Amino acid sequence: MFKKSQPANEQSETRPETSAPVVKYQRPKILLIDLEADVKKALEMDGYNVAAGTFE
Amino acid sequence: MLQREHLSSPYTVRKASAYQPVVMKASLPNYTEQEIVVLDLVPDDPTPDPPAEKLVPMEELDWWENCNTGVIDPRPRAMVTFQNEFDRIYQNGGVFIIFSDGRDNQDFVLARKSEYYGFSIQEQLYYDNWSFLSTLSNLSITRDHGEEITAAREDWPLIRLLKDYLDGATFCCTFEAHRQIEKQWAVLATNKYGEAVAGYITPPEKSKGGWIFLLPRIHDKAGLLAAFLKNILPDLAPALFPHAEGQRWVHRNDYELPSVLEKAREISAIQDAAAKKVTELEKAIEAERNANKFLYDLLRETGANLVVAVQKALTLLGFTSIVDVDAEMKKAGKHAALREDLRIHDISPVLVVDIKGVAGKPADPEALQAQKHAFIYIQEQNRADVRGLTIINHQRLLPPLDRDNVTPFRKEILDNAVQLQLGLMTTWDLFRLVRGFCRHSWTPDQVKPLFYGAERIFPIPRHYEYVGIVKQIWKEAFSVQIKNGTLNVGDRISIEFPVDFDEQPVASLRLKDADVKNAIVGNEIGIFRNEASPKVKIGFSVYRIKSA
Repeated sequence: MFKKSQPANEQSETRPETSAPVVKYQRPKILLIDLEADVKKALEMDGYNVAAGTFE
Repeated sequence: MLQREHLSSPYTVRKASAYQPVVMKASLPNYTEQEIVVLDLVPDDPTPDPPAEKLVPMEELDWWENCNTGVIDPRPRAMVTFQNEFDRIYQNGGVFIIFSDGRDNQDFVLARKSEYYGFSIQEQLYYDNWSFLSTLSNLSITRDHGEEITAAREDWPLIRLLKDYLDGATFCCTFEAHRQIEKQWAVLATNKYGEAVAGYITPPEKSKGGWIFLLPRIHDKAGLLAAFLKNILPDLAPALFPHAEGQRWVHRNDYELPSVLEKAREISAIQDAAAKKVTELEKAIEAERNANKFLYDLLRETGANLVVAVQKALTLLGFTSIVDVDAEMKKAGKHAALREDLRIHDISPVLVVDIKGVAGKPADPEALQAQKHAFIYIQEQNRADVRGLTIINHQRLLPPLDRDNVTPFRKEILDNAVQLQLGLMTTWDLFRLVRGFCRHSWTPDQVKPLFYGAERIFPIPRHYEYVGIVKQIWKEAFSVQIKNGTLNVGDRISIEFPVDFDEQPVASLRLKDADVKNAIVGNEIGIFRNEASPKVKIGFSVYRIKSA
């Protein structure tokens, strides 16, 4: 089973970059592997120390 | 919007029974010191090309994968590369949260290819898309798919949280713990067959090990993870959340305000009492359903079960002398297959009852068989006061309101029934009659005579007199087009809903904006109706309830 690819027209709806979120909590260190970008953004907005990576 | 920061994509190759190099390009920043690792194991769509160049020359030993599926998934190779470090994170209290996928059986080998020796395999590699943590080899992970997910019944914060995010969730696999981790394994949610589709592995006893959470395909992963990190994990793994502990210790029982503790106790007592009450009500529902199982059986069963259900319904309606012909024939040592199902001897005439459940509408022999059996009984007993009655559970595989309840019997069957003085009834109408009997305390004298009628038998008790149909509706009133009889202030009426009848008094009558005392055929008369009562619809039939 594969994930659905994102339609190209949705890419253009990306909001303009705002200032980088402030890390409120240095710990725990959180690594997201192969998750959608909105997950990282949501956790960063909550102040977590998040890194994203891939097994590609 | 969703946008994947990093794409983990298998890549396509020409489908063949041959091996191709496994090319990977993993990127896990500062992975050795991470404390919470969240993985989504469902890969993205395959890309047309490998993500990078082959890592070593063809002549050197390297990973190769069989191309028989036309796709090479390089992730297991990357996972094995990081396995030792991830094991170390886990053994030191790290947490793994995994959005699951089925375990793939990929055919990996360690091999080389040279001009002189050709392609030569040195060994088979037994790794897969769950090889990032060695302890996960203690789980049976079976590929499965579905969207019916039921959270476990335990009242645990994580289960309550998971319930909030199960809308739109699907699962790709089921889990079963091997003996080695049986005591650490707990189920969070199951599929419709009771197999685990979500669960967690607690830290091994007397260890400083971490937690592993296995979750299905959650639609709002960001929301779930944010709530999980905020409300659940700090309590399970406090060492990972120094900020949370720093604020939370003041709320430990030792330091908490007595008034807060009292309120917390009250909450706990309310939750316990509510849980107890829910359990009691669930048991009561179960008992109620079992006691009235025959009502459900009227709508879904066929054969002997339907006969039992009809017999119970007739008994409830007041019939006292019902013979189970099957039992009677067996007792007499005779073959019962060619005879009626029930006989009713309450009064003359005797009713010979045939009962059937059919997937469609009844064919002529099915509808008219009761009359054939009635003739046999007439011959046997040498008496003329015998009538047939057919009771059919038609289109029984459909919910009753989706069935054709207007013409369940063909016109030719109805014409024959008139000539033969045969009664025809559906179990849906019998069901409605029983409901009305119980709900409105009808008496046996008001319903039993119905069963001695010819042609189609409707569930309208004898003390109901048809008046007309609902013509217009207002917020607190409706009008009836009077087609039969009269209607007077002080009468009681009954409105026929698709399932039940609703009875109400006639407190006043309005005709052309004036109060009147009675209404006759031809009048469209307005009747007050309590706004809180079930909403009537145009076309519903209305009956006057005749006094005893």
